[in-house]
Amino acid sequence: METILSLQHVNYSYEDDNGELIPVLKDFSLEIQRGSFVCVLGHNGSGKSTLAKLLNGLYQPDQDSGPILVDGLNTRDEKNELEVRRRVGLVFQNPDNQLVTTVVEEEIAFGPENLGLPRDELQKRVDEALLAVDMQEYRNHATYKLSGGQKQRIAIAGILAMRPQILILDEPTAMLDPKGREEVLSAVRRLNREQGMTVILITHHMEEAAKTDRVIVMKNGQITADSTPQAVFSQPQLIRDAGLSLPQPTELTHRLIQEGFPIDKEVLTVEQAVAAISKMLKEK
Amino acid sequence: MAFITTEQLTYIYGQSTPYEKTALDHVNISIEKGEIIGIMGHTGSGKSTLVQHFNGLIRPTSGRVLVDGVDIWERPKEIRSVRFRVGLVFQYPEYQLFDETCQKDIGYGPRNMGLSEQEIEERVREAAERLEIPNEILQKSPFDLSGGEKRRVAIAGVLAMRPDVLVLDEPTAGLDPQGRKTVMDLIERYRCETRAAVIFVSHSMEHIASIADRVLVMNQGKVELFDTVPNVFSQYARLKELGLNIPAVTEIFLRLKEQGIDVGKGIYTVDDGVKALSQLCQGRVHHG
Amino acid sequence: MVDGISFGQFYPVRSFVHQMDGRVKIVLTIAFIVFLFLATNAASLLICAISLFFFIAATRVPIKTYLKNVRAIIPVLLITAAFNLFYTDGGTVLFKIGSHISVTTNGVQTALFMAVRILLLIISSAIMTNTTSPTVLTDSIESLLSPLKWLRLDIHSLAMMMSIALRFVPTLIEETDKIMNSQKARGADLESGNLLRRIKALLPILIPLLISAFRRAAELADAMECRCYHGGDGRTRLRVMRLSWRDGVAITVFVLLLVGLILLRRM
Repeated sequence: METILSLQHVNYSYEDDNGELIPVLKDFSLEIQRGSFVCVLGHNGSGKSTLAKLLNGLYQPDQDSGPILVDGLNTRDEKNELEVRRRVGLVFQNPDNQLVTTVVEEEIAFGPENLGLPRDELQKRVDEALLAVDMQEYRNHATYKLSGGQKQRIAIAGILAMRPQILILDEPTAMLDPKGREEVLSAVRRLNREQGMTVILITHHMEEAAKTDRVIVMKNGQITADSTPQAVFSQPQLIRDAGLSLPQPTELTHRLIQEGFPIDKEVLTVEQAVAAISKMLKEK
Repeated sequence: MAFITTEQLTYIYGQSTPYEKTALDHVNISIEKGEIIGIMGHTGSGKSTLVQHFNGLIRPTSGRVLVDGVDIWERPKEIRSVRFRVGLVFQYPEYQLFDETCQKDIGYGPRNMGLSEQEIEERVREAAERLEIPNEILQKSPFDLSGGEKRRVAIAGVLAMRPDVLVLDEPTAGLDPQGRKTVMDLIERYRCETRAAVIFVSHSMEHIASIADRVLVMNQGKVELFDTVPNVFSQYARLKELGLNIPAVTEIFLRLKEQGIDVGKGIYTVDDGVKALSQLCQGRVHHG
Repeated sequence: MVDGISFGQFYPVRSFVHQMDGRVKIVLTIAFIVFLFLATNAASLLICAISLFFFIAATRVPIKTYLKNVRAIIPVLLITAAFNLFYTDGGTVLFKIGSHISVTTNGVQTALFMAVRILLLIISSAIMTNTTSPTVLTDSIESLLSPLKWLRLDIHSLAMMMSIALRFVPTLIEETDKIMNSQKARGADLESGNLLRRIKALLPILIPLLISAFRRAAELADAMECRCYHGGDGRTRLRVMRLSWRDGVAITVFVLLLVGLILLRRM
């Protein structure tokens, strides 16, 4: 599969109040394939959010760093600045702090307006983005009257209207209730499945990671695991060391294995746990 | 005797305006000392409005709130003393931090109580210990801390008042798994060490199942269910209707039961599940 | 408790006034405020009020929204009225409070006029902000002030700042409410003590509020950059500003109003 994002030996550090350089990412290399749904996990301060901001050029890597290439464009190149931001759409945690206007339609048009698109194209982009997050009937609504989940979907639509190639979501569900969380996640999954959008989801919710193609675990600015969710979550020690937890069905099967039960260890969801337990009991 | 009781507690927002909305509708509950109560309900169900009545931040439109047998609005001028007895930790409490050092910030509540400097220091030390806040952090500015540390300092600021009831509104929201675990452990420990009542609002069924004694389910300002963990989570269909879930393990064992594999009822935590399966398999060995 | 809609929030429906050009609305609002101060007798204030009422009806914004806007300024209204009541001389003395303050017929009249003026002023500004989205407001202000660009002033940024400020008003009110409650839960006493003490008691609210406002501003700036915002250069608009027959109608109404006011002034 085609590589759409690549980081080669990237270093990033920032200066603290005392003028000391604090490294965040050290010799960090990663490649993301077009159309994949990747989940990034890690404790607070592991460098996940920094990674997101490096990918769309909001942050620049250190002088001695290797390049970050977005679909072949180097993020460091100043003439690529706007194009990199357009191609790599970034959605943040707090929907209230990323909405610029108070009307849904105008909110979605904000990005494309900055791109200087003609008016009929703006209208088309708004329609298309509203459809993608299933919010057509909210076109003329006030953004401040929407629920958290709806606000976040509008934030995503605002990014989609710029027709990005990669959608990065930095803990998009952290401030939402279960209903809002499900609304946002199903919209994102649909984008990936139906439109082939490359998605990078940064999250603290292990259940969200279970339903992606690839899970990357970060700890202190480095990758400690990078594989399928099944493979990553079958290493409980590694998960614990990274300050994470297991989805409850996985935790159950691991505990059963510890107790000596002959059960399949690659369990992530409720359905898989049910199948594994009933299979085990039948074989006994 | 119940420590916190509500009698026909009703609260109407914007009464006699066009925006009138009943947020709480004749709520009658009572909570004993030493209990852990988990509150759940979708957004707008009245959970947050309810918990703000416990310490007198909101005055009921009608009905009463009794703390230790006394109507808290009997002497409105003394409502502050209720807030020291019923400690309320808001959602994202780290946004309340303001003082130069964490030490001073945690001491804000005790200082408002009018305690002596020595007593304040003692309480700050105790609260910091409970939340595993090391000394060097106490001397730092609260704005230089990580998200998880800030949350702990903010909770310590309420614990330093040594409340008889600790109320927390979504205490784990926005934290990473490690942070969530730390906070949940703390809640349980506070109950064990002080025999205070703990009331917490949560969207995580797993958290509620793992530490709560009773569960209060709110819906449209009314008490939908208020019962023990088994009695609430066994009402699977009703909870689904309300847009709520049950713990993943509970769901696993419910589905197994539908497939004819009966491993017994009352499985709400991973421990329960492991135990039930062990018993089932041992039973099979004995009989087979 | 705040429920999202507060003063100056755009109320999105389609109406005659909503579809008017933003620039015309701004100019007419300013003109109306000038009219209010030209109106020196009861009859002229009355025709101002009547024309305003027609505009309210043409906004299709529920009347309760306006009532809420008015409720928010009742204290200002009362204080202004009181000042005028007690400190206007002339006319017949109605009664005296102590030996210095006397209430006269002139005082009552001035107080009443002033209160009505402020009331109408607030409602007219509310009509504008209730029917004009922040984006349109930004664009309109930018367009109206564009002659100043020759003075090398960054009009776009100025207009953008204003519209963002308006967008964040309800968010920050809600935040203030929350922080205040958090500190009250820790026993904050905001209601007793002398002035100095009270100001000191506000610090635990002001500091977190300020910090939160900065945090929000930083996050919003990032989010805007992520959406390729780079100032006004090369920006296109979803909403195009174009004068329509509605603007013509509104302007005609205003001209008639002005004529009426001039006539009444002469009488």
